[in-house]
Amino acid sequence: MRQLRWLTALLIIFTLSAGPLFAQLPITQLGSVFPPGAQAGTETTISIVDGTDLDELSGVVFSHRGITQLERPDPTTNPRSFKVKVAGDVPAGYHAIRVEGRFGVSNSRMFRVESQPVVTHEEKDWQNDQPLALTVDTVVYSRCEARADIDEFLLTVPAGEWRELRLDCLPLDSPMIPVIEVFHPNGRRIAYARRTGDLEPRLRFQAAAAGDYRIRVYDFLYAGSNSHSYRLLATNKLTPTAVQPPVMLTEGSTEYQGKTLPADQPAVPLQVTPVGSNTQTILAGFINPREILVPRQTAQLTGPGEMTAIRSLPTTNKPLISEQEPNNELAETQEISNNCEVIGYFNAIDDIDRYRIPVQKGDVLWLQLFAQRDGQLLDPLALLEHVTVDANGKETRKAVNVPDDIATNLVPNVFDTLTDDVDFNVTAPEAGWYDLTVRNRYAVQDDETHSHYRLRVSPPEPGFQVFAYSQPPVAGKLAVDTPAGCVARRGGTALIKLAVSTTHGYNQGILVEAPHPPPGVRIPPVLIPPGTTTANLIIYASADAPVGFAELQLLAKSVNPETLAEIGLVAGQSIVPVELVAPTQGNDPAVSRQGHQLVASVIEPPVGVHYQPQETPVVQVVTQSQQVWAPLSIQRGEGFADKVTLKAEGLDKNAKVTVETPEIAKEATQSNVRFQFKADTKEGWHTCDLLGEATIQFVRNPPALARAEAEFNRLTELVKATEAKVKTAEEAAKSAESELKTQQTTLDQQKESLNKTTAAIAELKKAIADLDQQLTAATEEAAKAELQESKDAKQTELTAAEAELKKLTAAVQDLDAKVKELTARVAATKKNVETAKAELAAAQPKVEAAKKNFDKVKNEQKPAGVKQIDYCGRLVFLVKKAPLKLTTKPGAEISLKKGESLEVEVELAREGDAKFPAELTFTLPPGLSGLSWAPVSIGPEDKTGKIRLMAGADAPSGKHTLCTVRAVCQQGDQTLAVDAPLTITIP
Amino acid sequence: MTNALLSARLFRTVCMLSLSLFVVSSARGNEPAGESLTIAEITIGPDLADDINGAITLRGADDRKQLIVTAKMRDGRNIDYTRDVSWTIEPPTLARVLGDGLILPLENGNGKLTIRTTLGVQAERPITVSGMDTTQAVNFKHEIVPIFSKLGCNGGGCHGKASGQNGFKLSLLGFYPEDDYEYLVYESRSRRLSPAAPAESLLLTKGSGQVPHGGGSPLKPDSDEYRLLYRWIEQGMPYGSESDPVLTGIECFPKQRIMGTDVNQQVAVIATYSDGHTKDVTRTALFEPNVAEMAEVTPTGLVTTGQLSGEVAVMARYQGYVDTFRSTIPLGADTQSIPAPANLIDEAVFSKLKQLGIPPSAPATDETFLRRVYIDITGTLPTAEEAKAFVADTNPNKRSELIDRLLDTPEYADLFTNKWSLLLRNRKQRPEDLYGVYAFYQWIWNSIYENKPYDEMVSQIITASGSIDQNPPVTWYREVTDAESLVEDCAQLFLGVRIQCARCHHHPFEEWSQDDYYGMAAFFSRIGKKTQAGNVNAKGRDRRVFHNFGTATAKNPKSGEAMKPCGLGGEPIELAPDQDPRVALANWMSEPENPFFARTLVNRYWKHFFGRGIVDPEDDMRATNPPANPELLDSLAKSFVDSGFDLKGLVRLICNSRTYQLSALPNEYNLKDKQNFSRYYPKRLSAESLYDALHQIAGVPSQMNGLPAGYSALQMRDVSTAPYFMKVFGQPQGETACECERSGDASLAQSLHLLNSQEVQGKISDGRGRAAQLAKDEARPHEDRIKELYLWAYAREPREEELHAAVSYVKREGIEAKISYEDVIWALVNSKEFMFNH
Repeated sequence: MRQLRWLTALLIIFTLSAGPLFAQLPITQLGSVFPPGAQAGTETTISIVDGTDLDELSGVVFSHRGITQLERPDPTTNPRSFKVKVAGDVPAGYHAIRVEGRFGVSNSRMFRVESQPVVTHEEKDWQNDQPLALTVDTVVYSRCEARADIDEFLLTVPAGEWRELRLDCLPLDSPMIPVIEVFHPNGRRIAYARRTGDLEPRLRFQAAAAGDYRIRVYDFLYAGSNSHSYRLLATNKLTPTAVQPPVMLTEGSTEYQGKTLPADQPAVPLQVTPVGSNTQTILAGFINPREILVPRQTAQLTGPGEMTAIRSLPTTNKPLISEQEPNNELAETQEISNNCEVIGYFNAIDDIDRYRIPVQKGDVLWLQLFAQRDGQLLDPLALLEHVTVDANGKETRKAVNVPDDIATNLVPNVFDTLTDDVDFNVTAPEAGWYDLTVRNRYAVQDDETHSHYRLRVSPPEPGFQVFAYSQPPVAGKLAVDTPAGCVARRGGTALIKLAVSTTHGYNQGILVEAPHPPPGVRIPPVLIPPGTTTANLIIYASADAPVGFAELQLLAKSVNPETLAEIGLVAGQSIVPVELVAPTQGNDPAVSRQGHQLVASVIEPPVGVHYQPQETPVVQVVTQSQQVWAPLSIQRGEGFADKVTLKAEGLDKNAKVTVETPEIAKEATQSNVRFQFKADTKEGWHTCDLLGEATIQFVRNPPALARAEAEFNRLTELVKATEAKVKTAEEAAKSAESELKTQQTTLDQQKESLNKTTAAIAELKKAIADLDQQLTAATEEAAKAELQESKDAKQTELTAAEAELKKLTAAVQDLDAKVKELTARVAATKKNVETAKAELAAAQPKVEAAKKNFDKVKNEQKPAGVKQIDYCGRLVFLVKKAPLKLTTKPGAEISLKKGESLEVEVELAREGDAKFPAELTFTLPPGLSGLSWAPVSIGPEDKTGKIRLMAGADAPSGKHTLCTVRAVCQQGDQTLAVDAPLTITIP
Repeated sequence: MTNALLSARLFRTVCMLSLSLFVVSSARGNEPAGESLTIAEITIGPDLADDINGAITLRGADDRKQLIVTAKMRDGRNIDYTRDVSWTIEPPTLARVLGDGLILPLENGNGKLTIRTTLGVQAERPITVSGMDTTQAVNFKHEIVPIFSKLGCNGGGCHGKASGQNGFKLSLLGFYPEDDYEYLVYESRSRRLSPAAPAESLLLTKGSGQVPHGGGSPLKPDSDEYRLLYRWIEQGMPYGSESDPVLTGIECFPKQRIMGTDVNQQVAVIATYSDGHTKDVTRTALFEPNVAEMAEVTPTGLVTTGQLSGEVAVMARYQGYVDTFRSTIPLGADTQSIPAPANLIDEAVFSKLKQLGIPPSAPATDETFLRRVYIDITGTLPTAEEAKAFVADTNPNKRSELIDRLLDTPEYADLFTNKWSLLLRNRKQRPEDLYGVYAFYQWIWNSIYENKPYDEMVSQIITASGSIDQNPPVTWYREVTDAESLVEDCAQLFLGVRIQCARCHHHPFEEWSQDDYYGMAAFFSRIGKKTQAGNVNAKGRDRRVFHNFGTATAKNPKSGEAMKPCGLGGEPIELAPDQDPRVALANWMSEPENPFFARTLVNRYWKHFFGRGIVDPEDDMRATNPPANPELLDSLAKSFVDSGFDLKGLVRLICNSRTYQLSALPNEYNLKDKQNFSRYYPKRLSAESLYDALHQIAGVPSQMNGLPAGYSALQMRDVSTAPYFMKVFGQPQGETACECERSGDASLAQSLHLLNSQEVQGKISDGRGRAAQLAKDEARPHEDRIKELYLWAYAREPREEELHAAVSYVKREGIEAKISYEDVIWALVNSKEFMFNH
């Protein structure tokens, strides 16, 4: 028993630690690049530092067309760095960089284009921990590579001069929390700054003495990684700490001034020039979700002394007024109109700003306080009193409850838009005025940079703004807040999440459409009904869509939600792209910011399930009690023959709508999702998204497998060929050696003969000489004759020998040449053998490596069960109150034999005294046939009706639920249907 | 009437009542032998505000008065003769005096009391007795409840505990007499009291042990207490009326005395009521000395000094009021050698030493001073080079200049940030807390480094508003979350008052009531909290703090009364709904005349430098725990206020004093002195400093978890990741606002860790460390190298015998030099001279 408990525990542990059963389909995710910026007019190499699914990157993609990739390395070599050129006319500011790889175009990261020179430092540059020299007006890109890494610089400053240090991390999408410190040459720290809120550290100091000022840069929590990059700039051109007014006018013009340090310095005039265009967004830095709620403009600030800076400023079309101090006391209240914008400042911790707005009875005031939405670390608090004065001059003050914060959070923990700002409207009950008191809830006094707010008072101006970001399917490690590109596989879908911020009670529909979808891609328009703040836009890639990517242009229009007719209440507008930067970590929500553009890419299959957009209307008007079928069909990819489960999400849990999502069975291609609206379903708008989920056998990179196999085969063949070559060479060498041996033997023999002949000749010559002496000495003729005869004989022999010698000499010479030639041949063949053997030796490890790689790739590319999850349909219902109640008199079940008919009597209970005609009919669940009927008209006052149902001979036997009797009637210009459930049993 | 006024009047009257003297020739008891000839005058006290024409006035049969006879000697000393005189009353039927000086009325009338010493010195004082023929109603609150306190019935260990004892409950120490009356008179069907037969009352039979009683028989049947209780029951248990005068204070008589060793002093306790009348409550007050080794006190108020010299305070408690009698016991040694004071510290300390006759130790040597001031200001050891250079320096201002230099170092900020960060409970409880911990730490560090005025720094903490990110002191509100903790931390940390007791009941040893507690709580009653902007960290503990407009009040749970904001001992403050009461609190605290704020800080810093607070523990300042040197505390506090709450200035003042620069070596007189700062009291290095010192002498960089290499233990932001070493040596964890969380106690684990631990051994024997470097440095003789080691460890060169021993050791044949040097370092590290700042 004890063992069993142990086993159970182990099983539980194993189960818990096993992780998700299925991985997700890969999708290119970019973590960070380095350096994350470059000077305009230069070339640089960008390294892809980290990310996920960065297989076979083919290049980098920038939001500005002036930044281009210079070389395209072979993607199959998995390159991680790319040489790019930044054209000289690319505006300074933040652009987007993405990577393109096998799994599509990634999410974006910030890439800053600089107008100043750029240097890049890595940890190895800090030799012996010596500080690096920091040059004024040269941008440094570096990073805190490891935990507890501290980077040190030296900045030489003449006495009395000011320097400004700017340290940026967040605008580079870096996770580093920057801290900067400055030390006097005497070692004493003189300045310290860290990020506060989203405000990156800026340090200004005046050199009390000339010398080298040490600067330390590190992460506040001493964290570090290759992604902890930063941008550091030292300059003597002090940028304004505050721009006045801190807003750009869309109508008219104003003069801008900048406040700089020291604080007692007069403001300097600023020229403010918009940067970027509708098609080419350039950001001034990190713009958080709250700030995006306000229309903004990136602007170039130019001041005296070549001072330039880029800022993101909110825009307004209202006349601007400055707050007039003193206005802390009621008697000092500043009167303003009901259509203006006030720039106010909290000059002290307990500063109170009082405003008076005269009103007439019935005036509607829209009061807005912008502080957090303008990037301020303030929580403006508004206290409002309505004041009337009676005929006797008696003043009556009545407090008006002002909502403290804007409580709408568009996408919690992903795109958080909760703000401490104020946005509300009030209707004046009587003529008089409103006294508005504005204070900072937090008694924290920052410098002027961070203490301003905008008070906008105006009549109601309904409006909206739509934001969009790409969201990968949620599976495995991918979550709703995963930064990833918008990637659809051929035949699959991709998702764009939409979030809507409405102002002043905008209560119409918003139609979002993509007027120019990429080739092979369909993006059905989506309606965001009134009261809804989020929606899903589904991108369908056809099975033959061309692989590639394109920028998505989405437009939002103000429409009548029922008819979808454009109403022009608000001008059509582009959707603001949002970029997810980092997913949720612990209790910290995801980081998101304004993006540059939406980019969608289509990549190769495989996917198992191909979805096509459903031909359902954008809006379906239904009634309480109605049953609705939503057909859904798929195509199956090659080799996929498994079921597809369907899910419905997005319906309000309290909406009282039943949804049945029958799976698409193995090898089937269709299903029908059933919506049953109950009699008490909440009237109004209901939206539902359909998701398909299938487990497919996924091979990550089949071409890689083929390449590995081909390489292995190639090398195997090469080895075989080399082995043969060795053999041939060895045989040739052997043959040459053998021949050489033979010839050598012959030569030796010939040489021996030659020697013998030479010796014989010498002997003959000696004999002849002896005979000559004897002849000379001989006196007798006989003897002489005999001697002469002997001599002649010898001479003859000599002549013959000499002839032989000559012959032999020639033969030896010939043989000698042959031997030499053979010797050379032997050497050559031996070399051939060695060469071939060397080739073989070189090829063998390669083939082994190729084998290993092949095995590895085979292993990697084994088909694996992977979840394919797609959003495959979106339904928008407008639920209307049922104009009548329909009841089947025989009850909800009938029995009908094949070939027979049955009259079904129904009762119609109309609302109140209403009188209107109706038409009776039946609805059958998809797939049920063999039943027929003729629709029946019911008079306006008739309370009952009968309709005959006939069962054909081919009607299927069984108990058929989900049938209804339906009464269709016209209500105004809408045709409404009311259902009564019916179960038909056919024996 | 305030205690101060009462005291002045008592003193004046005693002086007026001095009588002519008779010279006699012998002495006994408290009377110093042979000194009777030196009595200048003798007096009978106390004289009370409502005594008629200077006569000892007794009103009613229950009135008692403790008389005290004081002989003023010609050398200025006052000696208690209460038990050393004979008492004569004319007429004898008027009143009776017991041997211990307690006078009881017998009949109405006027008369005269005469005292006479055994040597014939005598004095007289009139007596007036009245009210003997009328029955005075017993007042439950003023007469009955004190009996329970005196007898211990309503103590926390008896019926005063929350659940009572064996079915009978009284309010703790009688702070809620209405409740006591309810319990006693009405509870349990009134079975505890029997007006028809008072002697049969359970209260008396149990209290006197006539029926079994778990608490014994504290009530003697022949005692005044028994009789009073009997009469109260007999009278039908009156409570008293609402118009009855209420107690406004008590005062000891005499307030203080200079006493010898082994001598007595009778103390009387006089209560004053709202109608101005006084009452002797000596027999119902509770007495307790603050240093038990120095004095004992009987339940009747007789103080007997011990063998130690110094100052001892005896606290008297009565009905929630407290006063003390201070006894100074001089040693009497020659104090001519006391140097001229360098600043106000020396003035106060040396003056006290003169008074006590304790000559201070000699000034500390340069070496000792250097090491001491380094450790006390920066928490680090001086380097060998610094030690050498400092001793060689002939600049007469070198000490002062060194102090200035050290105050400018980041290490100064490290040390005091470490202290404040932990006291402010800046600690990580969850991983996501880390940001706030770092932010608050850095904020404190910046404040210390830039020498932010203390009042400003505290104000910014108390009134912290906004987010932790924007305003890091908000982190304090993350850790100290509820109003009670805020009150208690604020009181203990910034006011030196441990007010925790008053949350549930009147403070047993102090004047603080629940009204005071909830008056303080009202300052924190309008704190609003919001989640972080944009839902950031909504699940975490970080919240944004703000002032929630509205009327600031806190409900006293006992009375149900909504208390207005009120500083301790102050007046309630009227605030508009949009005024943040915390700002009012900060303003109240930093008022120059605030009796707590500056005193607490200077006392806290004094403790840091001297190892003992002027009031000790440093965060428990109360009348019953008086300062060792009130003049010192007052002048330091005044100086601190006058300086604009300049913390560096305070450190400068302390360290430049001759008192601070005294040697720790005692002379023949001050060995036993533990509170008068006649010498420097050695103290063990804090866990962090010791750890850093170990790294310094071992010559290896420290590596603290999560921080860059070389960051010291004093620079740790998150103490939860501290190494075991520091936990062993008592590093606090920032769980409370109490300095007591840091333990300076010695333990076996500490010794074993220094002697045997792998960690210590590893650092000493590190291949990059000092031992290895010294061993390699063969160009220098061993003598030089050993000297360098000593300079690192002790900031001094070795004495001849030390040098000889060490050099002999490292020169041993066959032993690797590195190992020998490791051994020497190990020996130095394990010495007391290394572990202690002296």
